[in-house]
Amino acid sequence: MRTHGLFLLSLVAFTTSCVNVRDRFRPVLTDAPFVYDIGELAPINEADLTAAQEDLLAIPESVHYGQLGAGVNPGIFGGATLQFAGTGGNVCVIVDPESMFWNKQISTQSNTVQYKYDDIYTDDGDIDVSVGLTAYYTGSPGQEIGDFEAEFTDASGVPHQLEFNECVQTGYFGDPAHAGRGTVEYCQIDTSLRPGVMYTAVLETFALPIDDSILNFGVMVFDGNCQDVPWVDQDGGISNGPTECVLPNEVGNADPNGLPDDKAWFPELESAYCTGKPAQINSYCKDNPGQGCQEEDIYLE
Amino acid sequence: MVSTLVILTLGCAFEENLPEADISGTVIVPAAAATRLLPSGETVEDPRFIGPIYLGAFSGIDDVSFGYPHPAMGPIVTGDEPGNTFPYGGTSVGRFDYACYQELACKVVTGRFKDYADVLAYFKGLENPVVDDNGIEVTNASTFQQACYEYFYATSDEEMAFIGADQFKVNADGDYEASFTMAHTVMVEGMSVWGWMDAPLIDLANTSGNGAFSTCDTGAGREPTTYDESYFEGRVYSDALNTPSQYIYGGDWVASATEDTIVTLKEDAAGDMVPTNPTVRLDIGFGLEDAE
Repeated sequence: MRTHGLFLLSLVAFTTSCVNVRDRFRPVLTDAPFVYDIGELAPINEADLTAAQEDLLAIPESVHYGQLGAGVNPGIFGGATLQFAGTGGNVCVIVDPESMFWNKQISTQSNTVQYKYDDIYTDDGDIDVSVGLTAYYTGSPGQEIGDFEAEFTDASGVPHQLEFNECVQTGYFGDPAHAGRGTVEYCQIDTSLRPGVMYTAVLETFALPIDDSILNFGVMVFDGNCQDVPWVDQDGGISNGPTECVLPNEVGNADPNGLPDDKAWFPELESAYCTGKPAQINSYCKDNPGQGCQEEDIYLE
Repeated sequence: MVSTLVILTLGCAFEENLPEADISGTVIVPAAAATRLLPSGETVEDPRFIGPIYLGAFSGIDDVSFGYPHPAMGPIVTGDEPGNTFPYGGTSVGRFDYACYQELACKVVTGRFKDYADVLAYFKGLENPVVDDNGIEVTNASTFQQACYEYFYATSDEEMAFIGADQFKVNADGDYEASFTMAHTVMVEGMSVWGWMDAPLIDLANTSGNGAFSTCDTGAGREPTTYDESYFEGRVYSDALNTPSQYIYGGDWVASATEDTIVTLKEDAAGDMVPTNPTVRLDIGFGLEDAE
Protein backbone atom coordinates (compact mmCIF):
# COMPACT_ATOMS: atom_id res chain seq x y z
CA MET A 1 0.00 0.00 0.00
CA ARG A 2 2.75 2.34 1.02
CA THR A 3 4.61 1.44 -2.15
CA HIS A 4 1.58 2.24 -4.24
CA GLY A 5 1.20 5.56 -2.49
CA LEU A 6 4.81 6.49 -3.12
CA PHE A 7 4.48 5.45 -6.72
CA LEU A 8 1.39 7.61 -7.21
CA LEU A 9 3.10 10.53 -5.52
CA SER A 10 6.14 10.13 -7.77
CA LEU A 11 3.93 9.94 -10.82
CA VAL A 12 2.08 13.11 -9.90
CA ALA A 13 5.34 14.91 -9.14
CA PHE A 14 6.89 13.74 -12.40
CA THR A 15 3.88 14.76 -14.47
CA THR A 16 3.65 18.14 -12.80
CA SER A 17 7.33 18.81 -13.26
CA CYS A 18 7.06 17.94 -16.95
CA VAL A 19 4.23 20.41 -17.37
CA ASN A 20 6.22 23.07 -15.60
CA VAL A 21 9.31 22.45 -17.68
CA ARG A 22 7.28 22.51 -20.87
CA ASP A 23 5.67 25.79 -19.92
CA ARG A 24 9.03 27.28 -19.13
CA PHE A 25 10.27 26.68 -22.67
CA ARG A 26 7.13 27.69 -24.48
CA PRO A 27 7.21 31.15 -26.06
CA VAL A 28 5.02 33.86 -24.61
CA LEU A 29 1.86 34.82 -26.46
CA THR A 30 2.03 38.42 -27.69
CA ASP A 31 0.16 40.70 -30.05
CA ALA A 32 2.56 39.75 -32.86
CA PRO A 33 0.66 37.53 -35.32
CA PHE A 34 1.34 33.82 -35.53
CA VAL A 35 0.35 33.70 -39.20
CA TYR A 36 -0.24 36.62 -41.54
CA ASP A 37 -0.18 37.51 -45.19
CA ILE A 38 1.95 40.44 -46.31
CA GLY A 39 0.23 40.64 -49.67
CA GLU A 40 1.90 41.30 -53.01
CA LEU A 41 5.36 42.82 -53.16
CA ALA A 42 6.59 44.32 -56.42
CA PRO A 43 10.11 43.21 -57.37
CA ILE A 44 12.29 46.32 -57.20
CA ASN A 45 15.21 46.78 -59.57
CA GLU A 46 18.74 47.81 -58.69
CA ALA A 47 18.42 51.42 -59.80
CA ASP A 48 15.21 52.08 -57.85
CA LEU A 49 16.50 50.31 -54.78
CA THR A 50 19.78 52.21 -54.89
CA ALA A 51 17.86 55.47 -55.09
CA ALA A 52 15.76 54.48 -52.07
CA GLN A 53 18.62 53.41 -49.82
CA GLU A 54 18.14 56.38 -47.49
CA ASP A 55 14.67 55.24 -46.48
CA LEU A 56 13.55 51.75 -47.35
CA LEU A 57 10.32 52.30 -45.40
CA ALA A 58 9.32 54.71 -48.15
CA ILE A 59 8.91 51.84 -50.59
CA PRO A 60 6.33 49.60 -48.86
CA GLU A 61 5.28 48.18 -52.23
CA SER A 62 8.64 46.38 -52.41
CA VAL A 63 10.09 46.28 -48.90
CA HIS A 64 8.25 45.02 -45.84
CA TYR A 65 9.18 45.03 -42.17
CA GLY A 66 7.00 42.92 -39.89
CA GLN A 67 6.69 40.87 -36.72
CA LEU A 68 5.86 37.26 -36.06
CA GLY A 69 4.86 35.73 -32.77
CA ALA A 70 3.93 32.47 -31.10
CA GLY A 71 0.80 30.47 -31.73
CA VAL A 72 -1.67 29.21 -29.18
CA ASN A 73 -1.10 25.58 -30.09
CA PRO A 74 2.45 24.25 -29.89
CA GLY A 75 3.89 22.07 -32.61
CA ILE A 76 2.54 24.04 -35.56
CA PHE A 77 4.74 26.30 -37.65
CA GLY A 78 3.64 29.88 -38.11
CA GLY A 79 4.97 32.50 -40.45
CA ALA A 80 4.18 35.04 -43.12
CA THR A 81 3.45 34.75 -46.81
CA LEU A 82 3.83 37.17 -49.68
CA GLN A 83 3.20 37.05 -53.39
CA PHE A 84 5.06 38.48 -56.35
CA ALA A 85 4.70 38.26 -60.10
CA GLY A 86 7.37 36.60 -62.22
CA THR A 87 9.48 39.23 -63.99
CA GLY A 88 10.75 37.04 -66.81
CA GLY A 89 14.19 36.94 -65.25
CA ASN A 90 15.89 36.15 -61.97
CA VAL A 91 14.25 37.37 -58.77
CA CYS A 92 15.88 37.40 -55.33
CA VAL A 93 13.79 36.95 -52.19
CA ILE A 94 15.78 38.17 -49.21
CA VAL A 95 14.73 38.02 -45.54
CA ASP A 96 16.56 39.43 -42.54
CA PRO A 97 15.36 38.09 -39.17
CA GLU A 98 16.51 39.80 -35.99
CA SER A 99 19.03 40.04 -34.50
CA MET A 100 22.59 40.60 -35.51
CA PHE A 101 24.52 37.83 -37.15
CA TRP A 102 27.77 36.48 -36.10
CA ASN A 103 28.56 32.99 -35.67
CA LYS A 104 29.98 31.92 -32.36
CA GLN A 105 26.63 30.48 -31.37
CA ILE A 106 26.28 28.63 -34.65
CA SER A 107 29.59 27.41 -35.91
CA THR A 108 32.74 26.85 -33.98
CA GLN A 109 34.33 25.69 -37.22
CA SER A 110 34.69 29.26 -38.46
CA ASN A 111 36.17 30.43 -35.22
CA THR A 112 38.13 33.25 -36.75
CA VAL A 113 38.79 36.57 -35.08
CA GLN A 114 35.51 38.23 -35.96
CA TYR A 115 33.54 35.40 -34.45
CA LYS A 116 35.32 35.23 -31.11
CA TYR A 117 33.21 37.64 -29.09
CA ASP A 118 29.95 36.47 -27.62
CA ASP A 119 26.72 37.44 -29.22
CA ILE A 120 23.62 37.52 -27.07
CA TYR A 121 21.79 34.55 -28.49
CA THR A 122 18.49 35.17 -26.70
CA ASP A 123 17.53 37.89 -29.15
CA ASP A 124 18.14 35.83 -32.29
CA GLY A 125 15.30 34.45 -34.34
CA ASP A 126 15.23 32.33 -37.45
CA ILE A 127 13.06 32.35 -40.55
CA ASP A 128 13.21 29.69 -43.26
CA VAL A 129 12.17 30.68 -46.76
CA SER A 130 10.55 28.64 -49.48
CA VAL A 131 9.26 29.97 -52.80
CA GLY A 132 7.18 28.37 -55.49
CA LEU A 133 4.35 28.99 -57.87
CA THR A 134 1.27 30.19 -56.02
CA ALA A 135 -0.72 27.48 -57.78
CA TYR A 136 1.28 24.81 -55.96
CA TYR A 137 1.05 26.37 -52.49
CA THR A 138 -0.89 24.17 -50.08
CA GLY A 139 -1.38 26.71 -47.28
CA SER A 140 -4.02 29.38 -46.77
CA PRO A 141 -2.43 32.85 -46.72
CA GLY A 142 -3.15 34.55 -43.43
CA GLN A 143 -4.69 31.41 -41.95
CA GLU A 144 -2.30 28.49 -42.15
CA ILE A 145 1.26 27.93 -43.30
CA GLY A 146 1.69 25.27 -45.99
CA ASP A 147 4.35 24.03 -48.37
CA PHE A 148 4.91 23.27 -52.03
CA GLU A 149 4.72 19.51 -51.89
CA ALA A 150 2.38 17.52 -54.07
CA GLU A 151 1.83 13.93 -55.06
CA PHE A 152 2.38 12.66 -58.58
CA THR A 153 0.98 9.30 -59.65
CA ASP A 154 2.89 7.69 -62.50
CA ALA A 155 1.51 5.62 -65.37
CA SER A 156 1.67 2.46 -63.27
CA GLY A 157 -0.33 4.00 -60.46
CA VAL A 158 2.64 4.43 -58.13
CA PRO A 159 2.54 7.67 -56.10
CA HIS A 160 5.66 9.85 -55.82
CA GLN A 161 6.29 12.94 -53.72
CA LEU A 162 6.97 16.11 -55.70
CA GLU A 163 8.68 19.20 -54.33
CA PHE A 164 7.79 22.47 -56.07
CA ASN A 165 9.82 24.69 -53.76
CA GLU A 166 12.28 26.52 -56.00
CA CYS A 167 14.13 28.30 -53.20
CA VAL A 168 17.45 26.51 -52.82
CA GLN A 169 20.34 27.81 -50.77
CA THR A 170 23.80 26.38 -50.67
CA GLY A 171 24.93 25.62 -47.14
CA TYR A 172 28.19 24.62 -45.52
CA PHE A 173 27.73 21.00 -46.60
CA GLY A 174 26.07 21.69 -49.96
CA ASP A 175 22.46 22.31 -50.84
CA PRO A 176 19.66 22.56 -50.06
CA ALA A 177 20.14 24.39 -46.79
CA HIS A 178 18.65 27.11 -44.63
CA ALA A 179 20.51 29.99 -43.06
CA GLY A 180 21.19 29.92 -39.33
CA ARG A 181 19.69 31.97 -36.55
CA GLY A 182 19.64 35.72 -37.13
CA THR A 183 21.25 35.22 -40.50
CA VAL A 184 19.94 36.81 -43.65
CA GLU A 185 18.18 34.14 -45.71
CA TYR A 186 17.84 34.52 -49.46
CA CYS A 187 17.42 32.60 -52.66
CA GLN A 188 17.25 33.30 -56.35
CA ILE A 189 14.25 32.24 -58.41
CA ASP A 190 14.36 31.89 -62.19
CA THR A 191 11.06 33.20 -63.54
CA SER A 192 12.17 33.32 -67.17
CA LEU A 193 9.53 30.84 -68.29
CA ARG A 194 6.73 32.38 -66.25
CA PRO A 195 6.64 36.18 -66.58
CA GLY A 196 3.54 37.61 -64.94
CA VAL A 197 2.72 34.35 -63.17
CA MET A 198 2.25 34.67 -59.42
CA TYR A 199 4.72 33.18 -56.98
CA THR A 200 4.30 32.75 -53.23
CA ALA A 201 7.13 33.11 -50.73
CA VAL A 202 6.67 31.43 -47.37
CA LEU A 203 8.59 32.87 -44.42
CA GLU A 204 8.31 30.09 -41.88
CA THR A 205 8.99 30.96 -38.25
CA PHE A 206 11.66 28.44 -37.36
CA ALA A 207 12.69 30.03 -34.05
CA LEU A 208 11.41 32.97 -32.03
CA PRO A 209 13.84 35.03 -29.93
CA ILE A 210 13.80 33.70 -26.40
CA ASP A 211 13.87 37.13 -24.80
CA ASP A 212 10.48 38.46 -25.93
CA SER A 213 8.97 35.82 -28.29
CA ILE A 214 8.62 38.47 -30.98
CA LEU A 215 10.52 37.98 -34.22
CA ASN A 216 11.14 41.22 -36.09
CA PHE A 217 12.17 40.86 -39.69
CA GLY A 218 12.54 42.61 -43.00
CA VAL A 219 11.81 41.11 -46.42
CA MET A 220 12.30 42.30 -49.96
CA VAL A 221 11.75 40.99 -53.48
CA PHE A 222 14.56 42.15 -55.73
CA ASP A 223 14.31 42.17 -59.51
CA GLY A 224 17.67 40.63 -60.41
CA ASN A 225 20.40 38.37 -59.10
CA CYS A 226 20.97 38.09 -55.36
CA GLN A 227 24.59 39.11 -55.80
CA ASP A 228 23.43 42.46 -57.23
CA VAL A 229 21.22 43.58 -54.31
CA PRO A 230 22.58 47.03 -53.33
CA TRP A 231 23.23 48.31 -49.81
CA VAL A 232 25.04 51.26 -48.22
CA ASP A 233 28.59 50.32 -47.32
CA GLN A 234 31.00 51.67 -44.71
CA ASP A 235 32.02 54.63 -46.85
CA GLY A 236 28.47 55.66 -47.59
CA GLY A 237 28.81 54.22 -51.05
CA ILE A 238 26.83 51.39 -52.56
CA SER A 239 27.96 47.78 -52.37
CA ASN A 240 26.21 44.73 -53.71
CA GLY A 241 25.37 41.35 -52.28
CA PRO A 242 22.87 39.64 -50.00
CA THR A 243 24.17 40.62 -46.58
CA GLU A 244 22.87 41.51 -43.13
CA CYS A 245 23.11 45.14 -44.19
CA VAL A 246 20.61 45.03 -47.07
CA LEU A 247 17.58 45.42 -44.78
CA PRO A 248 18.91 47.53 -41.88
CA ASN A 249 17.35 48.04 -38.47
CA GLU A 250 14.80 45.24 -38.75
CA VAL A 251 14.04 45.61 -35.04
CA GLY A 252 13.22 49.31 -35.10
CA ASN A 253 11.52 49.31 -38.47
CA ALA A 254 9.33 46.29 -37.74
CA ASP A 255 8.07 47.23 -34.29
CA PRO A 256 4.98 49.48 -34.63
CA ASN A 257 6.06 51.32 -31.49
CA GLY A 258 9.54 51.96 -32.79
CA LEU A 259 12.76 50.70 -31.32
CA PRO A 260 12.06 49.14 -27.88
CA ASP A 261 14.12 50.52 -24.99
CA ASP A 262 15.79 47.22 -24.25
CA LYS A 263 17.02 47.02 -27.85
CA ALA A 264 17.93 50.65 -28.34
CA TRP A 265 21.44 49.49 -29.09
CA PHE A 266 20.38 47.58 -32.22
CA PRO A 267 21.01 50.17 -35.01
CA GLU A 268 24.38 51.14 -33.64
CA LEU A 269 25.56 47.57 -33.26
CA GLU A 270 24.31 46.61 -36.71
CA SER A 271 26.01 49.67 -38.13
CA ALA A 272 29.23 48.59 -36.45
CA TYR A 273 28.87 45.20 -38.04
CA CYS A 274 28.15 46.64 -41.48
CA THR A 275 30.91 49.21 -41.39
CA GLY A 276 33.64 46.67 -41.14
CA LYS A 277 34.41 43.81 -38.88
CA PRO A 278 35.93 42.96 -36.54
CA ALA A 279 37.43 46.21 -35.36
CA GLN A 280 34.21 48.21 -35.10
CA ILE A 281 32.31 45.47 -33.30
CA ASN A 282 35.19 44.93 -30.91
CA SER A 283 35.31 48.61 -30.19
CA TYR A 284 31.55 48.85 -29.81
CA CYS A 285 31.30 45.84 -27.53
CA LYS A 286 34.15 47.03 -25.36
CA ASP A 287 32.51 50.41 -24.89
CA ASN A 288 28.96 49.06 -24.59
CA PRO A 289 28.94 45.79 -22.68
CA GLY A 290 25.47 44.35 -22.38
CA GLN A 291 24.23 46.45 -25.30
CA GLY A 292 23.85 43.55 -27.70
CA CYS A 293 27.17 42.11 -26.55
CA GLN A 294 27.88 39.92 -23.57
CA GLU A 295 28.98 41.67 -20.42
CA GLU A 296 32.37 40.07 -20.44
CA ASP A 297 35.75 41.64 -20.72
CA ILE A 298 36.84 39.43 -23.57
CA TYR A 299 36.77 41.80 -26.48
CA LEU A 300 39.78 42.04 -28.60
CA GLU A 301 41.59 45.28 -29.15
CA MET B 1 21.41 -19.89 -25.03
CA VAL B 2 19.41 -22.17 -27.30
CA SER B 3 16.39 -19.87 -27.26
CA THR B 4 18.64 -16.92 -28.13
CA LEU B 5 19.98 -18.82 -31.11
CA VAL B 6 16.45 -19.70 -32.20
CA ILE B 7 15.37 -16.07 -31.98
CA LEU B 8 18.43 -14.92 -33.90
CA THR B 9 17.83 -17.52 -36.61
CA LEU B 10 14.16 -16.62 -36.90
CA GLY B 11 15.08 -12.96 -37.03
CA CYS B 12 17.35 -13.52 -40.00
CA ALA B 13 14.57 -15.35 -41.83
CA PHE B 14 11.89 -12.82 -41.07
CA GLU B 15 9.89 -11.98 -44.18
CA GLU B 16 9.29 -8.24 -44.27
CA ASN B 17 6.91 -8.48 -47.23
CA LEU B 18 8.49 -5.47 -48.89
CA PRO B 19 7.16 -4.92 -52.42
CA GLU B 20 10.67 -5.39 -53.80
CA ALA B 21 12.40 -7.92 -56.01
CA ASP B 22 15.84 -8.50 -57.46
CA ILE B 23 15.45 -8.10 -61.22
CA SER B 24 18.00 -10.13 -63.16
CA GLY B 25 18.43 -9.78 -66.89
CA THR B 26 20.75 -9.41 -69.83
CA VAL B 27 22.03 -6.33 -71.59
CA ILE B 28 23.17 -6.56 -75.20
CA VAL B 29 25.56 -4.01 -76.65
CA PRO B 30 25.89 -4.07 -80.44
CA ALA B 31 29.37 -4.49 -81.84
CA ALA B 32 28.94 -1.08 -83.48
CA ALA B 33 28.86 0.52 -80.02
CA ALA B 34 32.27 -0.97 -79.33
CA THR B 35 33.66 0.26 -82.62
CA ARG B 36 35.31 3.66 -82.70
CA LEU B 37 37.39 5.75 -85.02
CA LEU B 38 40.68 6.55 -83.32
CA PRO B 39 42.86 9.63 -83.72
CA SER B 40 45.27 7.45 -85.70
CA GLY B 41 42.60 7.14 -88.40
CA GLU B 42 42.08 3.50 -87.65
CA THR B 43 38.59 2.11 -86.88
CA VAL B 44 38.80 -0.45 -84.09
CA GLU B 45 36.27 -2.76 -82.39
CA ASP B 46 37.22 -3.15 -78.75
CA PRO B 47 35.01 -3.87 -75.70
CA ARG B 48 37.06 -1.36 -73.77
CA PHE B 49 35.08 1.32 -75.66
CA ILE B 50 31.93 0.13 -73.87
CA GLY B 51 31.40 2.72 -71.18
CA PRO B 52 29.28 2.34 -68.06
CA ILE B 53 25.77 1.11 -68.84
CA TYR B 54 23.05 2.58 -66.64
CA LEU B 55 19.89 0.53 -66.22
CA GLY B 56 16.70 1.43 -64.41
CA ALA B 57 13.14 0.21 -64.01
CA PHE B 58 10.53 2.81 -64.93
CA SER B 59 6.77 3.20 -65.15
CA GLY B 60 6.91 3.46 -68.94
CA ILE B 61 8.81 4.71 -71.98
CA ASP B 62 8.25 8.10 -73.60
CA ASP B 63 8.97 8.08 -77.35
CA VAL B 64 7.93 11.69 -77.93
CA SER B 65 9.79 14.09 -75.67
CA PHE B 66 13.32 13.37 -76.91
CA GLY B 67 14.97 12.14 -80.06
CA TYR B 68 15.26 8.67 -78.54
CA PRO B 69 13.23 6.44 -76.21
CA HIS B 70 13.35 7.91 -72.71
CA PRO B 71 11.68 6.92 -69.44
CA ALA B 72 8.32 8.56 -68.77
CA MET B 73 8.78 11.68 -66.64
CA GLY B 74 6.90 13.40 -63.87
CA PRO B 75 6.03 17.11 -64.09
CA ILE B 76 8.74 19.60 -65.04
CA VAL B 77 9.26 21.69 -61.90
CA THR B 78 11.89 24.14 -63.06
CA GLY B 79 12.37 25.30 -66.60
CA ASP B 80 15.94 24.22 -67.05
CA GLU B 81 15.60 20.59 -65.91
CA PRO B 82 13.55 17.73 -67.29
CA GLY B 83 11.00 16.00 -65.08
CA ASN B 84 12.04 13.26 -62.69
CA THR B 85 11.66 9.74 -64.09
CA PHE B 86 11.10 8.30 -60.60
CA PRO B 87 12.91 4.98 -61.19
CA TYR B 88 11.75 1.99 -59.15
CA GLY B 89 15.32 0.74 -58.97
CA GLY B 90 18.53 0.75 -60.90
CA THR B 91 22.04 -0.53 -61.40
CA SER B 92 24.95 -0.25 -63.78
CA VAL B 93 27.08 -2.64 -65.76
CA GLY B 94 30.52 -1.31 -64.98
CA ARG B 95 31.17 1.63 -62.69
CA PHE B 96 33.77 4.34 -62.38
CA ASP B 97 36.77 3.33 -60.38
CA TYR B 98 39.73 5.47 -59.43
CA ALA B 99 42.76 4.05 -61.19
CA CYS B 100 45.46 5.46 -58.93
CA TYR B 101 46.46 8.50 -61.01
CA GLN B 102 44.67 11.85 -60.90
CA GLU B 103 44.79 11.93 -64.70
CA LEU B 104 42.60 8.82 -64.81
CA ALA B 105 39.82 10.14 -62.57
CA CYS B 106 36.45 9.61 -64.28
CA LYS B 107 38.04 7.70 -67.17
CA VAL B 108 38.27 4.10 -66.00
CA VAL B 109 35.29 1.74 -65.77
CA THR B 110 35.31 -1.62 -64.00
CA GLY B 111 34.99 -4.84 -66.02
CA ARG B 112 36.76 -3.48 -69.10
CA PHE B 113 40.49 -3.96 -68.49
CA LYS B 114 42.51 -7.15 -67.95
CA ASP B 115 45.52 -5.62 -66.26
CA TYR B 116 47.62 -2.48 -65.84
CA ALA B 117 49.21 -2.85 -69.27
CA ASP B 118 45.75 -3.05 -70.80
CA VAL B 119 44.86 0.33 -69.28
CA LEU B 120 48.09 1.92 -70.49
CA ALA B 121 47.61 0.55 -74.02
CA TYR B 122 44.01 1.76 -74.18
CA PHE B 123 44.85 5.36 -73.38
CA LYS B 124 47.91 5.24 -75.60
CA GLY B 125 45.57 4.28 -78.44
CA LEU B 126 43.37 7.28 -77.62
CA GLU B 127 46.52 9.44 -77.90
CA ASN B 128 45.98 10.56 -74.33
CA PRO B 129 48.60 8.44 -72.55
CA VAL B 130 48.49 7.91 -68.80
CA VAL B 131 50.70 10.35 -66.92
CA ASP B 132 51.60 10.35 -63.26
CA ASP B 133 50.91 13.22 -60.90
CA ASN B 134 54.10 14.94 -62.09
CA GLY B 135 52.93 14.83 -65.70
CA ILE B 136 55.40 12.12 -66.70
CA GLU B 137 54.05 9.41 -68.97
CA VAL B 138 53.62 6.01 -67.34
CA THR B 139 54.95 3.41 -69.73
CA ASN B 140 55.57 0.50 -67.44
CA ALA B 141 52.82 -1.70 -65.96
CA SER B 142 54.85 -2.37 -62.83
CA THR B 143 55.22 1.39 -62.24
CA PHE B 144 51.43 1.64 -62.49
CA GLN B 145 51.05 -1.26 -60.10
CA GLN B 146 53.44 0.26 -57.60
CA ALA B 147 51.58 3.58 -57.72
CA CYS B 148 48.33 1.76 -57.01
CA TYR B 149 49.78 -0.20 -54.12
CA GLU B 150 51.08 3.02 -52.59
CA TYR B 151 47.90 4.96 -53.17
CA PHE B 152 45.50 2.36 -51.79
CA TYR B 153 47.92 0.79 -49.28
CA ALA B 154 47.23 -2.43 -51.19
CA THR B 155 49.28 -5.59 -51.44
CA SER B 156 47.63 -7.48 -54.29
CA ASP B 157 46.04 -6.88 -57.69
CA GLU B 158 42.81 -8.49 -56.44
CA GLU B 159 42.24 -5.29 -54.50
CA MET B 160 42.11 -3.26 -57.74
CA ALA B 161 38.51 -3.23 -58.92
CA PHE B 162 39.36 -1.72 -62.30
CA ILE B 163 41.36 -4.69 -63.57
CA GLY B 164 40.41 -8.34 -63.83
CA ALA B 165 37.92 -10.35 -65.82
CA ASP B 166 36.08 -8.88 -68.81
CA GLN B 167 32.42 -8.27 -67.98
CA PHE B 168 31.18 -9.06 -71.49
CA LYS B 169 31.04 -12.13 -73.70
CA VAL B 170 30.48 -12.12 -77.45
CA ASN B 171 27.19 -13.73 -78.50
CA ALA B 172 26.31 -15.57 -81.71
CA ASP B 173 25.48 -12.28 -83.47
CA GLY B 174 28.89 -10.87 -82.66
CA ASP B 175 27.41 -8.45 -80.11
CA TYR B 176 28.49 -8.06 -76.50
CA GLU B 177 26.37 -9.47 -73.68
CA ALA B 178 26.49 -9.07 -69.92
CA SER B 179 24.19 -10.07 -67.12
CA PHE B 180 22.89 -7.63 -64.53
CA THR B 181 20.90 -7.65 -61.31
CA MET B 182 18.86 -4.71 -60.09
CA ALA B 183 18.68 -5.48 -56.39
CA HIS B 184 15.78 -4.35 -54.21
CA THR B 185 13.74 -2.91 -57.06
CA VAL B 186 10.17 -1.93 -56.27
CA MET B 187 8.23 -4.63 -58.10
CA VAL B 188 5.55 -3.06 -60.28
CA GLU B 189 4.09 -5.40 -62.87
CA GLY B 190 4.45 -4.01 -66.37
CA MET B 191 7.39 -1.75 -65.57
CA SER B 192 10.00 -1.21 -68.28
CA VAL B 193 13.71 -1.69 -67.90
CA TRP B 194 15.57 0.92 -69.90
CA GLY B 195 19.12 2.13 -70.02
CA TRP B 196 21.92 3.65 -71.98
CA MET B 197 25.64 3.37 -72.48
CA ASP B 198 27.82 6.39 -71.83
CA ALA B 199 30.44 6.26 -74.59
CA PRO B 200 33.95 7.57 -73.90
CA LEU B 201 34.96 10.85 -75.47
CA ILE B 202 37.26 10.31 -78.44
CA ASP B 203 38.16 13.59 -80.06
CA LEU B 204 40.25 13.17 -83.18
CA ALA B 205 41.80 16.64 -83.06
CA ASN B 206 42.11 17.56 -79.39
CA THR B 207 43.03 14.33 -77.68
CA SER B 208 43.80 15.67 -74.20
CA GLY B 209 40.35 14.79 -72.84
CA ASN B 210 39.97 11.45 -74.56
CA GLY B 211 38.55 8.65 -72.45
CA ALA B 212 36.35 10.94 -70.32
CA PHE B 213 32.66 10.27 -69.66
CA SER B 214 29.77 12.72 -69.45
CA THR B 215 28.13 10.84 -66.55
CA CYS B 216 31.09 11.29 -64.24
CA ASP B 217 31.27 14.26 -61.90
CA THR B 218 34.91 15.28 -61.65
CA GLY B 219 34.14 17.60 -58.74
CA ALA B 220 32.77 14.91 -56.45
CA GLY B 221 33.68 11.60 -54.90
CA ARG B 222 36.38 10.82 -52.39
CA GLU B 223 38.78 13.70 -51.90
CA PRO B 224 42.27 12.61 -50.93
CA THR B 225 44.47 15.34 -49.50
CA THR B 226 48.23 15.08 -49.30
CA TYR B 227 49.92 18.20 -47.96
CA ASP B 228 48.80 20.97 -50.29
CA GLU B 229 47.56 18.60 -52.98
CA SER B 230 43.86 17.86 -53.06
CA TYR B 231 41.57 16.55 -55.75
CA PHE B 232 38.47 14.45 -56.30
CA GLU B 233 38.41 10.86 -57.47
CA GLY B 234 35.15 11.45 -59.36
CA ARG B 235 31.87 9.62 -59.20
CA VAL B 236 28.71 9.19 -61.24
CA TYR B 237 26.12 11.97 -61.03
CA SER B 238 23.55 10.96 -58.44
CA ASP B 239 20.59 11.79 -60.70
CA ALA B 240 21.82 9.87 -63.76
CA LEU B 241 18.69 7.70 -63.73
CA ASN B 242 16.33 10.45 -62.54
CA THR B 243 17.15 12.86 -65.38
CA PRO B 244 19.10 10.79 -67.93
CA SER B 245 18.60 13.22 -70.80
CA GLN B 246 21.00 15.61 -69.06
CA TYR B 247 23.83 13.16 -69.59
CA ILE B 248 23.09 11.55 -72.97
CA TYR B 249 25.21 12.95 -75.79
CA GLY B 250 26.11 12.07 -79.33
CA GLY B 251 27.87 8.72 -79.52
CA ASP B 252 25.96 7.18 -76.60
CA TRP B 253 23.78 4.11 -77.16
CA VAL B 254 20.22 3.97 -75.89
CA ALA B 255 17.89 1.01 -75.28
CA SER B 256 14.82 0.55 -77.40
CA ALA B 257 11.50 -0.37 -75.78
CA THR B 258 10.41 -3.91 -76.62
CA GLU B 259 8.33 -6.66 -75.08
CA ASP B 260 11.57 -8.11 -73.69
CA THR B 261 12.18 -5.06 -71.51
CA ILE B 262 8.84 -5.29 -69.69
CA VAL B 263 8.93 -7.01 -66.31
CA THR B 264 5.95 -9.08 -65.19
CA LEU B 265 5.50 -11.89 -62.72
CA LYS B 266 5.72 -15.57 -63.64
CA GLU B 267 5.35 -18.74 -61.62
CA ASP B 268 8.56 -20.58 -60.95
CA ALA B 269 9.06 -24.32 -60.39
CA ALA B 270 8.27 -23.97 -56.70
CA GLY B 271 5.01 -22.22 -57.44
CA ASP B 272 6.26 -18.81 -56.31
CA MET B 273 5.59 -15.69 -58.35
CA VAL B 274 8.90 -14.26 -59.48
CA PRO B 275 9.81 -11.45 -61.88
CA THR B 276 10.58 -12.20 -65.52
CA ASN B 277 14.10 -11.61 -66.81
CA PRO B 278 14.30 -8.61 -69.13
CA THR B 279 16.65 -8.39 -72.09
CA VAL B 280 17.77 -4.85 -72.85
CA ARG B 281 19.25 -4.07 -76.26
CA LEU B 282 21.19 -0.84 -76.59
CA ASP B 283 20.46 -0.72 -80.29
CA ILE B 284 19.93 2.99 -80.86
CA GLY B 285 23.15 4.80 -81.57
CA PHE B 286 22.06 8.26 -80.52
CA GLY B 287 23.43 11.24 -82.37
CA LEU B 288 26.11 9.24 -84.10
CA GLU B 289 26.34 11.89 -86.78
CA ASP B 290 27.58 14.26 -84.06
CA ALA B 291 30.15 11.86 -82.72
CA GLU B 292 33.83 11.90 -83.48
